[in-house]
Amino acid sequence: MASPIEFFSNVEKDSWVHRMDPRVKIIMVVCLGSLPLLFSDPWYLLGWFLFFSLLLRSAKIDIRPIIALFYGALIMVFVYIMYGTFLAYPEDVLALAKFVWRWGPLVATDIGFYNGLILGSRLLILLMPVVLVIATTEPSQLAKGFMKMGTPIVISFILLATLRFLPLVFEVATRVMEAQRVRGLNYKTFKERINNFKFLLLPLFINTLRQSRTLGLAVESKGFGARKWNEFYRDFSMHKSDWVTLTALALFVLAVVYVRFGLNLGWTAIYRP
Amino acid sequence: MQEPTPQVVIDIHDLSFQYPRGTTPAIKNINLQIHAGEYVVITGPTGSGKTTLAICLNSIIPQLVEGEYSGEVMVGELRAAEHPVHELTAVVGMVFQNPEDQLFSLNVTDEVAFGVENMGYHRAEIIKRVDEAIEKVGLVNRRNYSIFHLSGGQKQKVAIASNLAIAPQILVLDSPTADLDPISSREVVNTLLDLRTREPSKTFIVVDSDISDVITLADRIIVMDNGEIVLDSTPVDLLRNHFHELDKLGIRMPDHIRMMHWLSSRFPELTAFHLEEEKVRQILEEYTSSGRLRFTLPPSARSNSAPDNPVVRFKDVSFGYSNGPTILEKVSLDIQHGEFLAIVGENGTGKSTLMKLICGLIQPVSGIIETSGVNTTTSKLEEVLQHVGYLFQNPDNQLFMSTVEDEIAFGPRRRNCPPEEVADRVNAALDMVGLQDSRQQHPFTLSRGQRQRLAAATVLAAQPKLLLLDEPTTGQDQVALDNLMHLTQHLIDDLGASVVMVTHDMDLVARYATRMIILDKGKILLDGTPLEIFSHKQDILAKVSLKPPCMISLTNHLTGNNDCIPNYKWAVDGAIIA
Repeated sequence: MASPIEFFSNVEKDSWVHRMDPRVKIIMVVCLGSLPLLFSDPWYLLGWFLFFSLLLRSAKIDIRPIIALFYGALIMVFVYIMYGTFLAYPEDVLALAKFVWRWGPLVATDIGFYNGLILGSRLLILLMPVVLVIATTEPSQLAKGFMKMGTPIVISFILLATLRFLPLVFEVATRVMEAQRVRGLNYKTFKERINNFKFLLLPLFINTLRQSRTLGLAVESKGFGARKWNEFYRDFSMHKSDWVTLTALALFVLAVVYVRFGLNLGWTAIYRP
Repeated sequence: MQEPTPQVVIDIHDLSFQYPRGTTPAIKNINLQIHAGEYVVITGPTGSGKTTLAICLNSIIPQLVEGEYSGEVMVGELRAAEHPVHELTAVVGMVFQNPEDQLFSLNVTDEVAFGVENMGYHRAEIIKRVDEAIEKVGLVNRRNYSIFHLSGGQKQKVAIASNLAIAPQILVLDSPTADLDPISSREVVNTLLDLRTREPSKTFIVVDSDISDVITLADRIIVMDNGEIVLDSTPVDLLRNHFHELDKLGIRMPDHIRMMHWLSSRFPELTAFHLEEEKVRQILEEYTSSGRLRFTLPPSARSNSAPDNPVVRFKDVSFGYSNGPTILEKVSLDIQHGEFLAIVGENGTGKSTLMKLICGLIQPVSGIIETSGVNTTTSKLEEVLQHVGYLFQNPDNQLFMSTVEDEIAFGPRRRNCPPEEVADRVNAALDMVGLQDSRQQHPFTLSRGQRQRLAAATVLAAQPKLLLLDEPTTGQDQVALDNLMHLTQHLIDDLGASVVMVTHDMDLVARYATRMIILDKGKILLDGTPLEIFSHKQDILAKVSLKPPCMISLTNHLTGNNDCIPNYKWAVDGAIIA
């Protein structure tokens, strides 16, 4: 399986998204990340999913190194479905359900099932534009983009540190689990994972903490505390293509808002196929 | 005319520091002056206070690390403790041990620029400084590389460049080569050598328990033990007059220095003490050709194993990750009982993959692997691991129980040993690693050295038939390494175990291994005893950037037929002085 750190190899590729100014990407992730929230109709959400898949593909992004993240999101989708299915709906809503199954205090409905599915799918879809931007931008460029847009240096830096450190946590976890498996702890079955998870936490925490401490000291030793981060070696400026992208994005946002509110499409309070 | 005394750039008075949970001060009563342009090596065993002293210089202590601080550190005109770290950045640069942990950006140029950008310079100045720093460390043609595509040595050079760009007067390097393979170490040392010539007024302070790499660079060596400075002199004076004290402290020294010391103690007319390997070789040649010194050649070493009874058998094994390149290609290999096999080769040649295949952590794409008679592909991991012990580089990856006692007992319990036997094995292992008094402690409350010993104890108690050692020299001083090797030898001699070790340390291979294989591009390039390979295959070793151990290079011309003496101990034990 590809290592999570290899996800950052995507940054070195070249595509129309890679070439964008980081500020345009930030605006894009905010817009594309919030627009799907306006929709609840599963068919429209499927449309968003396909649209983002196409964007990821056009940006030449290989998501295999972080596929675990998507599996994690799928687990969340499952949790939402379970939650939605057994949610205690009022009797007037239950009356609309085509399928009702009661077992003691638990009431499962098709309405709940579909609502859970919709909520979970939105989460999965939200992940996709975030991946699009992270996979196509150097973390430091992204942080500098935030800085140039007026975000306080500390917040920009926290974002940068998070992006730099998350894959390291995955790496440490993989190494610790390997070492523990050799000593006889298994993580193969679901039950083993649950039972042995407690043994993973402390070494993971200690090792990650040690690495983050060194990273923090190294960064501080290079004068980060001076908070004078304002001119950069690699400067960036808006090109014609960035303005074109921004204009296209603005038109797209207007079109989506019109479809949703002007035509009143894509929203359903209670979905029943 | 008398030369002016160099300016004092660091002046330390009565410095002591104790960590919040420490029972004794990490450093105490340090008084020290360091001058501009000096190249100082601070050495000492693990836990002697070297790193603590180093991070007092740029005020990480006490500004970022709390504890009881007393005394004074003056850096130029600045009282270090009164200034936040960033105010000292322009004066004191700091390079940390592991390049992986200290690089913050994903790209060489961004990383080198990070420090200068933090200083608030204008863009033109940032560009000038970054370009100069990249040129100084010789990374011009890699300036746009992702850091993931750099070797360990190149990453460490990026860390050095990012400090150079800030142009501090003092550069502190904490064990800069400790986590690197020999090729990467050489790269870093050559860079430091070059910088010294180019920037003669810059002060370099290198902290390391192994002085092998930096010995020829140093003007001065400061030796620490138990938080105090115990020796402070020139390298020649220290190595000639305080050799045994350094040895006792566990400072790792190259064999040519040991040989030089031995020669000067046996031949009083040798008044000069040389630090360069080439000079020592010349003296040896002179004395052996004149007949005053003769070495006994070792017998052709043969493995003490019983043939055709392998503990590990690889048959045409290939491996590669899905959609990735082939890492191992049709490797066939038998590892016999009682054998001590060293696997060497450049980074990325498949050494670690081979170890993971042996213990069944990963499965081959094709071919058959049998470990202790168990097929690793068709059997469960537990069955494969029944007789395997694996000692990882970082002990913290493999410790997970809540007491030292339970940690050691875990292996025997997993192997279904009766409680009395578990208790016996725990006691024996605790005795061997000297942790009997800590048996109820949480493993993570032990020092790093103790945790390394505990990890070794967990393997010992499990009494494996096969022990896998992953880079055992990393982060260990000589005493700790000797202890580990003693325990390993115990497993081989008393329990008939086999050992497979991945290492970059050729001295270690020459001293302990009975057989070595050299991997290159996923294939076995050479397979034989260390003595055979080091003596007769030096041209092939050079092709894969491996250098024979120091004693081999020193002695391979002395006997006339390319036979060599494998290690310092063998040389001096069998030396005949006319």
